[in-house]
Amino acid sequence: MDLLHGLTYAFSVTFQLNNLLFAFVGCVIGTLVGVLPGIGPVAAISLLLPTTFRGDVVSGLIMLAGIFYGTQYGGSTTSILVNIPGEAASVVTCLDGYQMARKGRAGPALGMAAFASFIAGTFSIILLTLVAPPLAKLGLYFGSPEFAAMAVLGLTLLTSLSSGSMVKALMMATAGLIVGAVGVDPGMGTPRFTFGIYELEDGVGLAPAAMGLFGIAEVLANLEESLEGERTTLVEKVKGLLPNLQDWKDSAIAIIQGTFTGFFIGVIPGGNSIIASISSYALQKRISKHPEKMGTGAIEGVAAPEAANNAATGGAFIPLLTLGIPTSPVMALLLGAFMIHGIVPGPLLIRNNPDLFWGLIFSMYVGNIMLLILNLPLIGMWVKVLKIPYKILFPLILLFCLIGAYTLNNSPVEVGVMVFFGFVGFLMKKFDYEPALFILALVMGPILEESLRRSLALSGGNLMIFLHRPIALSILLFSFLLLVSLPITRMIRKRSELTSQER
Amino acid sequence: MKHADRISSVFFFLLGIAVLLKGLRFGLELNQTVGPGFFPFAAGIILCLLSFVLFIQPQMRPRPLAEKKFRINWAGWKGVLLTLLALGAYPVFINSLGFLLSTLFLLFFLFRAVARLKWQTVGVAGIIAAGGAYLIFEIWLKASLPRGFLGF
Amino acid sequence: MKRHGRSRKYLWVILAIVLLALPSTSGFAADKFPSKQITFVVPWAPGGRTDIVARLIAPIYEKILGQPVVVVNKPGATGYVGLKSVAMARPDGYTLGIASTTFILSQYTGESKIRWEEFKWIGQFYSTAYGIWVNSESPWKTIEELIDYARKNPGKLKHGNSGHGALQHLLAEGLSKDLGIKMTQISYKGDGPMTVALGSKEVDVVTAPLVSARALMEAGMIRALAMASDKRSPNLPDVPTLKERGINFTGEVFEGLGAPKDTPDETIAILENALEKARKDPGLGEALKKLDVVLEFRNHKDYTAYIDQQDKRYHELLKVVGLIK
Repeated sequence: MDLLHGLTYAFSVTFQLNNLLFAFVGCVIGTLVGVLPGIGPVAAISLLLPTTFRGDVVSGLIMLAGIFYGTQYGGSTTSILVNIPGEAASVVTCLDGYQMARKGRAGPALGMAAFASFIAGTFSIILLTLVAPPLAKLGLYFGSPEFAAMAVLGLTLLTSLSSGSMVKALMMATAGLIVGAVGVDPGMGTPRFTFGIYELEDGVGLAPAAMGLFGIAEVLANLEESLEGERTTLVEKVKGLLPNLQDWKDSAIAIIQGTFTGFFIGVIPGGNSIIASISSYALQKRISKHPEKMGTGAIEGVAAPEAANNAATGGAFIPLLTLGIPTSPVMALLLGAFMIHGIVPGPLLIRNNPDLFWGLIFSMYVGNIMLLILNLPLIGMWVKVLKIPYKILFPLILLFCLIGAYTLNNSPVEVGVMVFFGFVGFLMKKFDYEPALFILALVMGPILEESLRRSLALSGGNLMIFLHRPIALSILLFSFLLLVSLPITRMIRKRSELTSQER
Repeated sequence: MKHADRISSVFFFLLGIAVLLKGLRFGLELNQTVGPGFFPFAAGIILCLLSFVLFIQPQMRPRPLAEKKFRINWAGWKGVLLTLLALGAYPVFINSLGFLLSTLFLLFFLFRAVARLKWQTVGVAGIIAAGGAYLIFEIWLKASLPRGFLGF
Repeated sequence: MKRHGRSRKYLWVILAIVLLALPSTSGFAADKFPSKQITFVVPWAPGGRTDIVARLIAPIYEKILGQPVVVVNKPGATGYVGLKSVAMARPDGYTLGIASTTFILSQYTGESKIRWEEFKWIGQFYSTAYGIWVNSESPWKTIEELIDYARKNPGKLKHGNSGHGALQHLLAEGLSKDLGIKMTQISYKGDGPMTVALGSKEVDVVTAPLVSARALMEAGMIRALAMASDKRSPNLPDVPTLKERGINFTGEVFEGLGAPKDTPDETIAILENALEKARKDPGLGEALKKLDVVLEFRNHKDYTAYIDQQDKRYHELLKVVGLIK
């Protein structure tokens, strides 16, 4: 079915009233879910899965896709407002987003996050429709060595995220790798560092750790500083609710870059929105005119990762729809949803269920528009929420985190983990360590270990396997170059600063 | 921050040692591939190295221009500790008391002991927040929050 | 005046608690079971096969029993966390757990020691057979060719499993022992990545149920050489069973509903009847057929006996292949 035919078909499917309704409902729920820390898209989709049985297949799946996108949008909201990543991909948004909020620029930050997400999401869907089939085959070229190389790349990029001491940044990344090893080891199943707690056998969850390190720690730090005197920072006069012209000029390149980076990484199996947002942020730091500003509240630091993680979402649908390969737990869930309805995604999907395929694609586009329209007016509301006196606000923030942590697995253990990391995060703040790198290393460590061990098992213990695989090799070389380029560029910059000072 | 860095570097160094010892125990090799202990071992070594560098760093480099200060506001610590206590107790009691009750108690405690609000505010805010959370999560989202011995 | 005001505040608080305690739903045991909501505990993360089947069966159960049936996910430690919570729940029939063959294995391979005897098994939902799959572009067209190759090249054949010590791994090892061949095991996290690895030729052979392999099979990337079941699968009529080829080996995964050990027999009987009725639901049959899940029902007595038998078999197998001492 050629493109034009497909699009008109999609049009007709999407614009049926009930499908639009489903898309809208999905977006609303998704946004809500994204805003509430802890309840991630996985939980939301699984809760609503049964309701999709009632309606017809396409409508149900449109709603689920809406939820998925919605959570991306919602997750950025909490990252910016209270420094709690709504979900993993939003961690990077915290870096500059929260700083912007502290400077009274929460509105523009939220706005730019929404716009960047929209532009990137739209573009990625267009790209999706154009290049889906050829790119799908790419998935098959990616084996364990490639995954390992991607993980190495991701970890290398992490170092670019730090705005402080390099040594401390590396220590945080290493600590993240160590904590990532908590749980059952990927090859053999031997429990490591679980202290006899069965719930830890699956590892330290990203969500409770992130909520603790970012959210709880932030609250504790604020409590320590002062509760009596109003926290001056967030109550500062909010300067405008939307990004201004200067903001747009600063972010333009970031958005374009984020879109392409994110889409590309989303398509690659093993790439997900986390790696996408990290890569985009790191890349932006390299090409930015004012890299030193990133990390302190630069709007490009919000635009780039936000664009990237939405573009990655679009890209991630490709392996799912064309090959039936889910690249992340959420995708696996959507795959499950497909299967309940008796639909087998794969190369035959476009042929067998064209209404589903095109309808889904198009509804994503419509969903993006809906989300933008939904989120913009909410910005004003969110800003008002910030004005609630902190004395009353902070227990509510804590409560949301507690509930969020509990509902992850219906277990108080996750809550305990979160509180523990809250304490740790508080200490980290005092001793000036950056939690973002820790969290991201926590996620990527297991991927690296699993792929590396499997690569070695495949090659019979021979590290040379990496040399024999061009894709993996190039990724590794690229990572190496990145790694050495950072200190070199810093040195060059320092030299030019010194020489310009001397003049 | 120089001295604080020293302290934290010692902590990380010890952590690194503990991890790498554990790693050794898990085994570094396992028929043709690396064993379960390899990763922790390697990470532990790296951590020790880095902590060492952090420890001696002040000697190596001249003071950078922007140095963060290590501050502790002792007056605020009471709030922090009380909050941590409350947060830590919450998961312990949530299954026996049930969501609604434990949340109420938590909120009352936080509003009163930490935020030092007046009892009326505490009561009203606590009930609204706990009740609201119950409505949203239990009733609307059907999140299956724990029920305590009272049955809710 | 102040003192009076303070105690008034306390009164408010107590009143509030009492008021909120009033709408306590349920609580008091009604005479007939079931009289309130029933919970299915799925000890896995949402989206997996167990979860999907549970969510398909729950609404039908609801219709039959007339009470809401809610599916709750309690993943962790290969099913231990969820099942433990069921074993420790009040034995009143309102908390039920879904357990599969994996549970049998985890009794021995996991750190968690929870025994099947700690449950009363209501009945089995279904079973799914495993097949032996290879990449479509591989030179082996029949199972004999594969075995032949394996015999001549010990250790060269790469078999992907969905987790070390998991059922697929165990079955493959058991089969290898029976046939006197040796394959190199490569572990993946779950059926998904494992099948993809077969598609990308990273491994040479996998043992998987049809539902996991379906997408790639329909794309023509992989094919089944044999099924490890008693009869040919209706979805794969051209694929022989191992038994037909003279290899007496079957491997299938089953799933069923269990309740805490002390649940009264009358309650179990009610649930069992409901299960039997549920399986006759035509919609369910259709949906499950698409998942290639054979609705095989065993009642309480048969299921318990079956589990006992499987328990002994897998315990033995685990020892034979050296996964446990």
